[in-house]
Amino acid sequence: MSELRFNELRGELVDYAIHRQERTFLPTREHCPLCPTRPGGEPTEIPLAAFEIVVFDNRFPAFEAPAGAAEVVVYTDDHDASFATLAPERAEALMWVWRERYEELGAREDVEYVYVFENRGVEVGVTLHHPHGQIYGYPFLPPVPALEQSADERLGGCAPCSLLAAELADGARVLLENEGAVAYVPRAARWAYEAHVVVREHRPSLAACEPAELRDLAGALQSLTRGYDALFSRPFPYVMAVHQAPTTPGAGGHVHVEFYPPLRTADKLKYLAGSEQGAGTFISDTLPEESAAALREAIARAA
Amino acid sequence: MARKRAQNASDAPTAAAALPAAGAEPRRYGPLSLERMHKEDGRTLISFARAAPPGGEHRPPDTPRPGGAA
Repeated sequence: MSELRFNELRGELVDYAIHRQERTFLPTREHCPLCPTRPGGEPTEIPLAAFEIVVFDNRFPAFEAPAGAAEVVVYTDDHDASFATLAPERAEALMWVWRERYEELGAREDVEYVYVFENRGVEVGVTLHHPHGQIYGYPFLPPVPALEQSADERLGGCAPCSLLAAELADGARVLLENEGAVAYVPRAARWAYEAHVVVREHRPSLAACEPAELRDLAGALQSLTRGYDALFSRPFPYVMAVHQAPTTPGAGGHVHVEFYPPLRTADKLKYLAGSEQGAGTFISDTLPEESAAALREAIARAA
Repeated sequence: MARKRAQNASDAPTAAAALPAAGAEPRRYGPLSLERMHKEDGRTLISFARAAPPGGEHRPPDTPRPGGAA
């Protein structure tokens, strides 16, 4: 069981989940715990010979009942796939899986915020290469979604709606559009190739999306991630963060997916150093408009 | 729990159903069927699959997108 302590100077909770120190770390593909259990083979976390998408309780949870949840979402039984290379139907199905988990975990009294995310690449701390994401059910509202609630108040309405309208009006940082979703590099992006994928209509969560919107969101996410891989002709590391409304009564939100890629060039990482860690101010080496132009070209190349 | 269930899902095209007991028949959720099971150590595992289309005909397998650099 983990322990929460309040950091007074930062005004934030820190989660001590010391059992995670022993979690599986970059196993060989022969010992991948997220592959299917083949007949006669070594048992894995998934006791099935084949599967489409599987969700299970994390063996090394950062949060667990009765104070939250931590789940693993395995996208496919193909060890060598990635979110970008999933069949479009599988990516669309994944949106429904995220939605189902949002509804079930969000209904729990010990979960205030359902956070779906993917860490891709050793550069962001991946410990298993098999394509997968995670879901945390936080027993409190974490700082980032709390800041988004504050942005709503500051802007006098839904912040993602306002920001999407501004990005569409400007156009310089828009990466791609379809009927239901838009991707853009934010005007004040923190990371060189940060991108946000926003559902066009005001939907607090995936649970409020129409089926066609889920399909369009999946399509936009795949187009973007394929573009990322094409940008430097290499698997592109990122943190993919799905932001939805908190699951406490009365909380607002607008479903959108944020990508934080640590690469600033093909072979250089952006580190969170003195200014970012000690002062809380990002120093960027790139302009969002130039990053957006490069990403648009890469997305077109990967289409 | 009912207090929370009303949140954000009220206009969902497919409402969430009550949890089936472990070992129950697969249930439908939108275009998916899902089957819940318990692992040996008691942890829950849910297997999701695209449901077979009406009439029971075989659904064609997924065709992964070509690789790119991934």
